[in-house]
Amino acid sequence: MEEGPALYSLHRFSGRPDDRSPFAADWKAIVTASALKDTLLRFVDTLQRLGSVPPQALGLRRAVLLFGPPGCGKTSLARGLPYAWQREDPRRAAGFMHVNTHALFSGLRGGGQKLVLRLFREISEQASTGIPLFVLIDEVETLGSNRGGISLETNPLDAMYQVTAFLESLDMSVRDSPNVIFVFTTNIPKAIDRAVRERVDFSLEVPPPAAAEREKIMLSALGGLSVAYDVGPVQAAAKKQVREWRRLTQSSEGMSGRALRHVFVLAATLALGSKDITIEHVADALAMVTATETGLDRAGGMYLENFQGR
Amino acid sequence: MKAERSITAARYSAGQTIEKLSTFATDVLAARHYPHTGPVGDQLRSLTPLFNLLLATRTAGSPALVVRTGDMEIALRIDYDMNAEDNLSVPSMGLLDELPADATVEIAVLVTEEVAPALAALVSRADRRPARITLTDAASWRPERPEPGPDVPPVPEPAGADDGETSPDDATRAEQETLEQETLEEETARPAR
Repeated sequence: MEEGPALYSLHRFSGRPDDRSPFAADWKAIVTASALKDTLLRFVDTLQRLGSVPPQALGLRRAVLLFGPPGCGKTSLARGLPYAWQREDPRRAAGFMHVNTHALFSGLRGGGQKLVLRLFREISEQASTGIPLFVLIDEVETLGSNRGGISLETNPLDAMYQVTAFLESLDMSVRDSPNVIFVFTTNIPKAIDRAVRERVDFSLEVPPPAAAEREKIMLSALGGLSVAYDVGPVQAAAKKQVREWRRLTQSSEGMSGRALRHVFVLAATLALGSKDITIEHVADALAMVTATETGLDRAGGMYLENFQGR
Repeated sequence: MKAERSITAARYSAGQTIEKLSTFATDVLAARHYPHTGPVGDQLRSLTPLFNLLLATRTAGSPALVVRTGDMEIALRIDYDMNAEDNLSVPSMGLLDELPADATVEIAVLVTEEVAPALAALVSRADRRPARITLTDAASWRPERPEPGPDVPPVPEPAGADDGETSPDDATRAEQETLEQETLEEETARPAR
């Protein structure tokens, strides 16, 4: 009997789109260049149109790689993609399989390979339903690690074999299941084996949000806080584009959308005693987050090591 | 959905194997919220004498049991190799609709040799609602599998191919390719020694 953590979770999109589902929320929460979302949607349409083209003719892989810093929405985009695609035409149906990458590793010799092969067998089973199946493999570098960087002294050959199993299974899936669409994500594109990188049709960068996008994210976060706090003063400052608000949007450059939202959690924490959140709370929170980041950069994230070495 | 699972008969008594076969079939239907899983289990358990014979004589087909509905075909293979892996995990059914009470459920018991009339009659008696149960010759059963795509990309049409004319060179090449293909097919068809 096969045991262990579930290799994936499965969801079906069909009929009337559920705009209140977590998938819809994921898609809508990502404030990014609209061209990026549009490219993803058109990619799926293109794959549908090329459905009868032999994959070898175009080197078609039916896979896209999303890369970029953490917190910029790669996973959310991938999770929301089948929802958004099905929403465009409710006569469509789509399946979504979110692979639990962490469940694909084993301490047993050959265990990792077996799990990868089992995963792809189950992808094939689900694909045999005939509907477009979106398969999200998050942090793909853990599965398709750069084999040049795998130490044979510290890793048994299993690590190598697991990458090989992944590559061969991908090839087989492209040949046998033309309705499968792979979406890979990574924060560390360099850690991905070149053979994996070449097995995607193209890669898209999901960058940190630009100034206008950051402002939208901040307003969205304020909207969230408005359930528990009076955020009117900050919203008014944003509407009037007062200097403090503009300074906030400028000084948050380089932050991911997720980090920016967390600033408002800290602002709410700072404002715990009061019923409203002011622009000063937000500014203080942003300053604290920035100071923390600077501190971590200076320490190189090695506090524990320094302590032990003392 | 098409899926295949397996059970290693060598690890269990015949009674346990038969119970696992029946339970697997009903678990598959239960995963789709089919309301009549209990009666289907009873139908299968009524075939215990037949399964006993198939296990003892190793005349169960490969697969031995196929549970089929309009959109699903789950096959169960019986392995006799002690080292083979059991896999009776029920496939995730999240992409399929629930099976309504009036859904047509077919269960085929596949055999490699003809069974005694009394056992065949047992199947006939079990073949009632809710599940249709049939005794099927394994040789006549073929899973429906999609044709794999060609390994070689199609050769692009040469310029001027639209005029419908074939040059002598093209004709010779086509003949040569046909000859090579036939030779390959003959070699493939030849039994392995």
